[in-house]
Amino acid sequence: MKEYLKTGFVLMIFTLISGFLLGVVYLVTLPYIEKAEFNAKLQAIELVLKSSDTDEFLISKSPSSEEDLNKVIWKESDENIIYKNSKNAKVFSPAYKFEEDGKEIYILTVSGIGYGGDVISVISFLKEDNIVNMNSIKVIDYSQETPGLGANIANEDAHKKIIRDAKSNNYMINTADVLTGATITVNGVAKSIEIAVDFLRNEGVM
Amino acid sequence: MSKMATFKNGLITNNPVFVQVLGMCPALATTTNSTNALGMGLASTSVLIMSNLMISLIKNLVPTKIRIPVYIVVIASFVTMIDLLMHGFTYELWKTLGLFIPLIVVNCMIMGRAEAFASKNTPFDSIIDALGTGLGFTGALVLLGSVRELFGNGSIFGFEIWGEALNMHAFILPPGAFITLGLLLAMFNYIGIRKEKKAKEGAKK
Repeated sequence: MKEYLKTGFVLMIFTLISGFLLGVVYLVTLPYIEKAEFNAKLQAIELVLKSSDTDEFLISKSPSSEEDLNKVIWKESDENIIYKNSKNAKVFSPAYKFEEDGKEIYILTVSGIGYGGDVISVISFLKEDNIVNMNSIKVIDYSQETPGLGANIANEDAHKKIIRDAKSNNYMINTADVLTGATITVNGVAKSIEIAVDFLRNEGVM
Repeated sequence: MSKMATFKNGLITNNPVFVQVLGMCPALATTTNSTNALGMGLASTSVLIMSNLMISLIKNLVPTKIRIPVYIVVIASFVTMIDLLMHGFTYELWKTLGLFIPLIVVNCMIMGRAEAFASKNTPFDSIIDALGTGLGFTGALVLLGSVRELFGNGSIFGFEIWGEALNMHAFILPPGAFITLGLLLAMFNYIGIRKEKKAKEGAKK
């Protein structure tokens, strides 16, 4: 009995020490992690603010800090999710709206179920002369997809094909053409585009 | 064993992937291209070096009965630290490797070196052993990744070798991992057997 208690105590000491060290490392790396995550988000927003046809910015000044972004929040919710459908696709809070020269640009963070979980994308819609069209999309979180297969959704080529299909084919994505062997991942992205369109229709934007 | 022999033992003689066939999960899953393979190999190597060092330092404090749980705690802590550091500083690589970084905890190569070497040897020797084994693992992964990327995508480390001319997509898919690994294993075994034969013939003369 005494020996069990002793070994248990020794194990506890080891776990306590490692727990403490982990806490220290977590606190040290936290600001860097937040910065990396925020930079990734900002880059994605910058990317979808560019016209997918001409590769030029749709607005004159793209956001560069958290404050800039906070100014253009359009819809937000405390629960982190603004809109959800039966297929478990989601629109995350916050949604952004940029306005300039009669143009309105809506930027949503959306997700659809891929092969291993949520595939999250940032997507932009352009409203010009009362016509709303999808402008661009950037997949930002595909960490649960298979490296070399589904994870190839991050490639520029795959993005171009998705945008092409969404624009010319009324948001019907030809999944097999975008990525061979990773239909389910592309399907997740297609579902997330669908919910973005649904959401904008619900809000009366399109 | 001399320091050099310890190092060479992990790197070549008892290469974790091609001789001991350890750590197959990351070796098959993350080697879809050379960059991922290198990242995975280096992450595993750094965990291995730190855990080997730590375990050889605390080996006299750990009761024999609970040595495995203690080793797991040590390894898991270092893996979590690596995960956090990679998340903060190498964001893109962290994204692509995804799930496989936490899975380094259950890489039997790391547990094996802790149990078989670090728990019986001095800290310095353990570091040498970890370096040898880790680099052996990294080298094997990069070789596997390069072959798969070359035949599946026509490039190595992203540099085009023959472009789209001779691409067999199957090499990037899971079956390609098994086929490539099998062929490489056969090649290294063949070289090993031939060396042994030559050594024997030399001894007879």
